[in-house]
Formats: sequence, C-alpha cells, structure tokens
Amino acid sequence: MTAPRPELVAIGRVLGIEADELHGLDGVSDDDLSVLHGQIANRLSADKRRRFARVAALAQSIPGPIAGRLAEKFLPPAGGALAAELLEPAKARDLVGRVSLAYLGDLAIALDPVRAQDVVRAIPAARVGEVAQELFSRKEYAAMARFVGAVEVDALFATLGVATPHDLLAVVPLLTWNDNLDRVIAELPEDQIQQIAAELDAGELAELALALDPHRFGPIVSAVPVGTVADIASALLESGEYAAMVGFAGIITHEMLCAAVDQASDDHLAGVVSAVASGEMWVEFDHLVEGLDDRGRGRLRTVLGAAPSDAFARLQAGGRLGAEATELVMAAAALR
Amino acid sequence: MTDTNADGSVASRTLAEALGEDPPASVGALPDEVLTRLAGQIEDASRRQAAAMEAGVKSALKGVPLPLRGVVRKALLG
Repeated sequence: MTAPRPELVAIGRVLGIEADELHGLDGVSDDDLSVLHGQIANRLSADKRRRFARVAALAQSIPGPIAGRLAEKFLPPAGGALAAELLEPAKARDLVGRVSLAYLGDLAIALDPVRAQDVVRAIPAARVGEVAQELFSRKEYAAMARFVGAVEVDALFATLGVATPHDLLAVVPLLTWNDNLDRVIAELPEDQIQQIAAELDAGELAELALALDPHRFGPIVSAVPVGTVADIASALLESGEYAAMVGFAGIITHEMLCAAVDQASDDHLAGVVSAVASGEMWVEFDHLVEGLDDRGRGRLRTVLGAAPSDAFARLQAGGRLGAEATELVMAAAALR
Repeated sequence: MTDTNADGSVASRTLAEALGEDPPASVGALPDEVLTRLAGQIEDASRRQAAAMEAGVKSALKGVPLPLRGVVRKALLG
C-alpha cells in the first residue's frame, strides 16, 4: 500500500480526518495542496485566534516566569499552541526556557508550523534540539517532520543531531525536502554516520536508501561492510526497486557492486535493465558496466541478449552510452 | 456528478465560502462531488473545534485557583 502524500496528510490533520477521506484531491499538485492547507488552517483558526489573541496579550503583559507557570498549568497544549503563534518572537524565546520539555513537546505537536514559523525560528537551536529529543523519545515522527520544516538550518542540525539511526529511518521518509535539509543530511557528522551503519540492518538501510537521494546516501554506504552492501542491494531488488538499485549502483565501489551483482538473480538483472531503458538512466548504466568484473559483465550480457526488443532498442539508440557499455550492448546484440 | 468545475459552479462557490477565499484554480476545477465533500469537511471541523475549545476553556477554568480565575477567565472569554 502506498503511503499517503504528506500534503494530504497535513490537510487531513487540520480537518481531523484521515488522508484517505480526501479522495478526489489526489491529482492536485503539491504546491496547490500546500496553498489549500494554508487556506483551511486559516479558516479554522480564525475564531480561535481571536480568542487566544487575548491569551497572547496576557502573556506579553505579565513577567515571563509567571506567564510560563500559568501557561503550563492552566493552558491546554492546543490552546497554548494557538497563543504561541501570536506571541512576539522575543517573548516566545523567553517563555520556551521557562516551561517544561514535556509541555514544549505537547506544544510542538499542536503547533501549525507554517503559522508559527516566526516563533519557532526565535527559539534557540539548543532548545529546539531538546524539543526534538522529546518528540523522538515519544516516537512522534509525523509531528517531528512538520516541526523540522519550520526551523532554520542551525536548529535543523540540532534536531537531526539528536536523532538515533532508527529515528532517522522513521522521520526521513516523512520530511519535505528542501535545501537546508539537504545540507544537514550532506553534513551528518562522521560518528552519526558510523552509528547508522552499525545499528541499521541491510533491510533498514535499503529503506533509508529509498528515502534519500543516492549521492546523500553515499557517505552512509561507504561506512557499511561490503557484505551488508550486497544485502542492501538484494533488499532493493527483492522489493522490485530496480531504478533505486541503478542509482544505488552509482554510489558504491566496484568491489561492492560485484558483490551485489553476484547475489542478484538473472530476473533481478533483467529488472535493472528494464529500469535503465525506461528511465533513460544512461549515465548510471555506464557506471554499472564500468564497475563490473568479467563475470558480472558476462551475466549482464546474457540478460541483455534476452531483453525485450523495445528495451534493447532504447539501449542501442546511438550515442548515449559510454564506450564500455556500448561494447557490452553490441556483444549482447550478437546473442539475439 | 463527476464533471469538472472549470466554469465555477454552486459547489465551487460553496467551497470558496467555507474557505473564506477562492481555492487554487486546480482545486476549484475538481468535480462538484469533491468540492461539496471538502466544504462539508471544513464546516464539520470548524464545529468540532469550536465545541472542543469551549469544553477545554471550561475545564481549564475549573483548575485555576480562585484568586487567578478572574484574570484567566477574562483572558480566555473576554
């Protein structure tokens, strides 16, 4: 079963319904769904905002320590989140140091990250990291993913820096990708990479490979033993993720690639060839061929020789493959 | 009804009223059935939230010590 799109999940959350109750919106673009989400959130919170504006005004006018104690004791998190959206960022920065992490975690779950973005960004990165740890400890990954979308890059480093490998595995597929996130994943500290490589099994690493751009998964896979890399490849192939396997082949060493192909069946290799042809993954195919030893090339040649005509014709179409891949395709043509 | 709504139907206007503004064009062009259902889901959510908020305020006020209750009541209920 395919996971619902994050944009539909977000709309469902605002409406208090499941994403599958929004059937009919499936064909709308991500951007338009995000606009619709904002419109619905605005509509639903308009009257509540008027009421909680008074709470925010009260919080602004009384000393921080008293406001923090009153909020935590008497203001339910949903109301606190609405009031927080209306606070001056400087006041919010003061208050988040005066309430418990448990309450902040409840607020973070209830916050609309789009509306509260200015307030969230006023919170010191270290405190954001503590809230992230609280959410990870509760396994509130969907809330975590929403929260991550609202923070600046320094807080993003703090947030993902406290994630365990299994936290990352759970939250990364839920994240809406952006440049900041790409940077944080690209700059994961070496010790965290080693921890991911050590704690996740091959199946879990394959799931992470599917969630990350191949070049972002590269540093992680380089920390994984050759045998485990072959098992990751097997997991991708067994689940029919042939295009992902072609991308994955582009980031592993020749030794890893040969081990992976050794474990693959001919049917798996045929799936890879089909993905290359249908996805026009010529550069990746070049890398795949160049990385294989004679035995692997021999098997690939045989599979190419038996490939469906249309897929083979696409591979043969001139000028798109490098020299070694072209030579292999020509040798396969002689078998047909 | 499964026709799309490129010309703006009653259902399209109903959704715009529920939202308080026009939805993105690609949403407004969806079939009436989808727009009517979405408008209803928005109104249902609005009613549920109002009821939950009222209950939450009453519950919160019970927990506020008497000396502070007036201040908090004023903040929450005006």
